[in-house]
Amino acid sequence: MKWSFNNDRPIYAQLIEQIQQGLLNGKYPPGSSMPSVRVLALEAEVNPNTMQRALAELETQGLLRSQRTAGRFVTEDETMIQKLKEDLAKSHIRDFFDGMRALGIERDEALALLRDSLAGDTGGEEGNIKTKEVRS
Amino acid sequence: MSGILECNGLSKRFGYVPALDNVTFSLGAGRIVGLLGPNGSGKTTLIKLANDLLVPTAGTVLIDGKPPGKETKQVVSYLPDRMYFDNWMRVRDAVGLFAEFYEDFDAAKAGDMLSSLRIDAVTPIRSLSKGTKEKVQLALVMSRRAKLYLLDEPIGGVDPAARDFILGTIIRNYNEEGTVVISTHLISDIEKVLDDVIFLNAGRVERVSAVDDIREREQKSIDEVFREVFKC
Amino acid sequence: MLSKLIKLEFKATARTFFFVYAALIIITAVNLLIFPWDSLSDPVPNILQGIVMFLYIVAVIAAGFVTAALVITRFFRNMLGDEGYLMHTLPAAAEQLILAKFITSIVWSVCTGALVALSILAFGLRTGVMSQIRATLDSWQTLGYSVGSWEIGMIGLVFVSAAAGILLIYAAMAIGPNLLKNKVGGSILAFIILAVGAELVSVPVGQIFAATGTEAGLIASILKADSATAGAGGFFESAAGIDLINQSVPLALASQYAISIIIGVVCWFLTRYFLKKKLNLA
Repeated sequence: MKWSFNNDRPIYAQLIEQIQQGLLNGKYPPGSSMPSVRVLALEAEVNPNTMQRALAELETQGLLRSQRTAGRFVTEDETMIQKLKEDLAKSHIRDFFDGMRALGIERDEALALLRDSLAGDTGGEEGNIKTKEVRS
Repeated sequence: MSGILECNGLSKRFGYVPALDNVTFSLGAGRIVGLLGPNGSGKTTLIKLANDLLVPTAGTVLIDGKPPGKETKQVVSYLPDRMYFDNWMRVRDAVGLFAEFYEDFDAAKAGDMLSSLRIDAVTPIRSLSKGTKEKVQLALVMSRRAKLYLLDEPIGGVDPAARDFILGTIIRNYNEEGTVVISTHLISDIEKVLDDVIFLNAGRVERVSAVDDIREREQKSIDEVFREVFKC
Repeated sequence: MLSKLIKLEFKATARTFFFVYAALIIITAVNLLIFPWDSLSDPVPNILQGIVMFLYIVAVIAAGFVTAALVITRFFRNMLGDEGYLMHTLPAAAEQLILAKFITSIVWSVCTGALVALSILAFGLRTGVMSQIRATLDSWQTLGYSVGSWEIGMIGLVFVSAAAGILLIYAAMAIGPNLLKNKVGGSILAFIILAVGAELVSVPVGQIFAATGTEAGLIASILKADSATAGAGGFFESAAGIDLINQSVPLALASQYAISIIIGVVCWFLTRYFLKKKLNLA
């Protein structure tokens, strides 16, 4: 996973998002130890102070735990992780519907388009053609 | 508590030409600060004043509470925008010089950096390409455990890979007691590494701010803010 | 710190001097072997011998020239050029930087001077000229002239005025960039101004020594060519003459010493002030 940033939003906020993704997609499994601030900052090519701020924020959210001498760990609390997953998913879904509305597509139409595109995906992997193929 | 670099009403005139006018700010420890401004805005003059290469016309500049001199030079590591090694030196002579004159120099760290750049210690410095020479200087300057690093245009005229090396070196060398000041007019490359920025325009301080504060308040990148502030 | 700086200076300059000195020694040796020293009366040495002697003269001049050039360019490049960005940010005081270069320059100047003197001495010994000079000096000594102290005094004066000269050149380079945008031009201009200043200094100092009346009396006596006060050998062998000269020479030497010391001290402070307060690299 490559870190990528938008310079017109606070970097620490983007770091939080990308670390949260890592918590969900297996990069930072539950209970595992997090790399040090310096290593993470180097990997992301950001200021260690900024990385520190992001990690501190994630600690406040309860997603990371810090142990005095042993460094930071990902929480083992599965419910926390699950809640994060749901919160982020809901946020993406909200963004989807906002995006659709910006195109003038209301909720029901958006849902229909969504179902169609999903069916098209399971039917064939070539192109964008949403035809219902009959398999013999 | 006084900051590591403090300017108070600092002004410098060359003849009748004002290069710096009433500059006042204070930098804390462990910050990576961008000194941003177009060419001729006084960035280099400010850095030279902190290095005792120039004497103020008015006001003061203090490093760790002391005026620039023999003592402050021991805790300030300076990377100017030009090559400053003698022609007769080989890479190992330059390393030796730093080791001899600076107590806070980490020769092992410098050696590691140079080997990772695949630069042989026996190579005469004058036979290196311009980019490689700059990397050697950077490696030496960052191998000191200084309280204040002053880097004058370290990424100007440098290819993207070299830029990454420079930024990586700065991040890797970060220590809580050391403040790094990077002067540049190329913002977008380095802004995600900065804690704070000082905008310098025609010798005057336009703004001093924490970087994420600007992004949060104005939803703009520092690069965009720079263009606005310095619109011709 | 000072010893570290001096070490750096020697490291930076040793290579050049090694070559120059080696060349001088080799050419001297070659000359001693090839040139027909034993038959100096022989009017026409062959072409080879002529070339070898010519090369020797070139080598001696080159040695002096290179020494002076190195003293100047080392200071100029290292203190005022791009290297200045390194030197002036080392944790050393301006005095230490100047002193390190000054000491190194003196050492190299002395070495060059000694080497040249030794090589000429080698020729002198070979031809027997040395013994003739020695004989003349000894005869003066027997007359009562304190030649020994004069020799020491004059050799010392060479050192002191060379030292003052070096400091004057340093001061010119420290001041130069402040006079003209072009550093080299400014330094030359500053050098001219300082040299003129040095001449002006020598006038009042000379007056002080002249006030003792000894030199005036000496000149008057020589001009008088008074046979009454003279003996058989003329003025220079008379007791009065010997006394007068024995007094005047040290005074003349002393006045030269004083001038050199004054110039040296003033130039030291000028160099230090301009490097500390008026430095403007690039």
